[in-house]
Amino acid sequence: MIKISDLYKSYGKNQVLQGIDLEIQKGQVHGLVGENGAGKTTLFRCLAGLESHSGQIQSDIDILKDNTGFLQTNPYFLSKITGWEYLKLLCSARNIKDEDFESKNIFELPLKQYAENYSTGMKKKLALTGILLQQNKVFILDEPFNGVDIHSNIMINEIINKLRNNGKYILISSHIFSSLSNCCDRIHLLKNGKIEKTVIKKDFEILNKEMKSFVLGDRLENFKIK
Amino acid sequence: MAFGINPWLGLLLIAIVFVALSEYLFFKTELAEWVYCIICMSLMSGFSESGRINNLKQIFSVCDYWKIRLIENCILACPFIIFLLYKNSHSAALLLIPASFIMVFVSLIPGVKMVLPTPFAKIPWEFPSGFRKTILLILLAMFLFVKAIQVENFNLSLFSIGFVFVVFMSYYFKAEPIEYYSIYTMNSKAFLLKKISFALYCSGLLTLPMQLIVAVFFPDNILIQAFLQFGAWVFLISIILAKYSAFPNEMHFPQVILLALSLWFPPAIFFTVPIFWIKARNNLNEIPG
Repeated sequence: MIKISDLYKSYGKNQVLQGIDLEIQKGQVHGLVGENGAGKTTLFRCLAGLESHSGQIQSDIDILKDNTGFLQTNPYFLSKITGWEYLKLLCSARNIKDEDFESKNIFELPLKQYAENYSTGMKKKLALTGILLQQNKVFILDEPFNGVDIHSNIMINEIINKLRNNGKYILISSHIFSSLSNCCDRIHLLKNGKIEKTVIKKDFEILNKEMKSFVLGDRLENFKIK
Repeated sequence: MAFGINPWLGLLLIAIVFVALSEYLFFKTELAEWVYCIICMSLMSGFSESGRINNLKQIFSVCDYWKIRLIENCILACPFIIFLLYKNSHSAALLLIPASFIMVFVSLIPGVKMVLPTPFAKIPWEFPSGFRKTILLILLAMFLFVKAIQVENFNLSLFSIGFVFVVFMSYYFKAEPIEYYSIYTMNSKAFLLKKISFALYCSGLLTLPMQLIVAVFFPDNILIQAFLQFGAWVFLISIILAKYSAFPNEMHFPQVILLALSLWFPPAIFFTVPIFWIKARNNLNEIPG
């Protein structure tokens, strides 16, 4: 289990995370929802070891950072590096000797082209392929379905299922509720830097309705869309 | 409080460095005027980068877009043309004027997507990326090198090797995003040693054959060659360490001052390298995770 306790993070005076308490179970898919700026990406970055923070992150994994694959919302690729070279970089950073990337190219990406020239969806798929090749124990997927085509959506869902069956730790964020409800076992609602609510699968629909009513209210009536 | 130097002082420094390097180039080789044109065109091609062009086209009207492209090319070409005229290289100066205008239209050509093969493809990531970005400069150095051997100019041959090293050093000027450090499952010491060993290997791959050729053609100067190779490697190491001593931020005044000191007084490098090493290790150890 990965146990996050009392996690705080601020940027200057801007307190982004205000005491996160969260338990991530092995072999379960945890979803994270929240408004823009709620702190989802910041929480992910803290978990991935990219940000300093106060509070504790405990786990049964030796060094969490070295076993975590973090798929960012907008993966950044270095200039003039091919897809193949990017995968090679990720593998060599973890001392994985694999170079047979063509046979593991599940998304059929043009690995011999520069990754920076890929489309948004292709970049996401390349980054996902990279963290899969690294054989991580923890997967943090920030908006994994964002910008990818329908076929890849199905593929990513299947990958998440396989990871769950293989007993990995998985934490996903998405702004599309249906994507999360399809693949998650639990969904955590992040609001004002705190986990406001955790919902299990059978209550997803209730959470969806609550969020809809909170978000919509009577705003659309006021707008009078014609 | 804002950091940085006064823009006017910066411009003055750039002008001084520009004139000094130009004088040096013209002093070193008879082909300087053509090398000069290639450098100018190469710098100008930076303005034609497709992403930049698309941004300009989106933001500005067609008329303003062409004005901007023309003005920036002229501003860049002006010092080169003035210096060429000052050196009485009228033909090169005359060539550079229409070339600056033609370069305005380079954006109309679709971006070349061809992947340039490199001898460093399996080595992450500074050299494959940097080699492709600076291929024109590497080719220029190779051209100078061949010319140096042809005209039996030992100094020029060393200059071209030094030039290759300066290009290699430029691969380490910018800091990568922190994620590219964090993916490594090794401590800061192993990480830095890995970076250094890759840099020495890759730079040696290109410069050692050049040194060998120089040794064959100028066998009396092997000691000078060894001195250059060793010195350049130490500088390369110091730049790598300087980069990580400021990481994840870009190199700033303390690093630049120490590097400049080492350049001005080379023995100082034996003090700056350990300083950078300690600072880089402390710095990387502070990164969470």
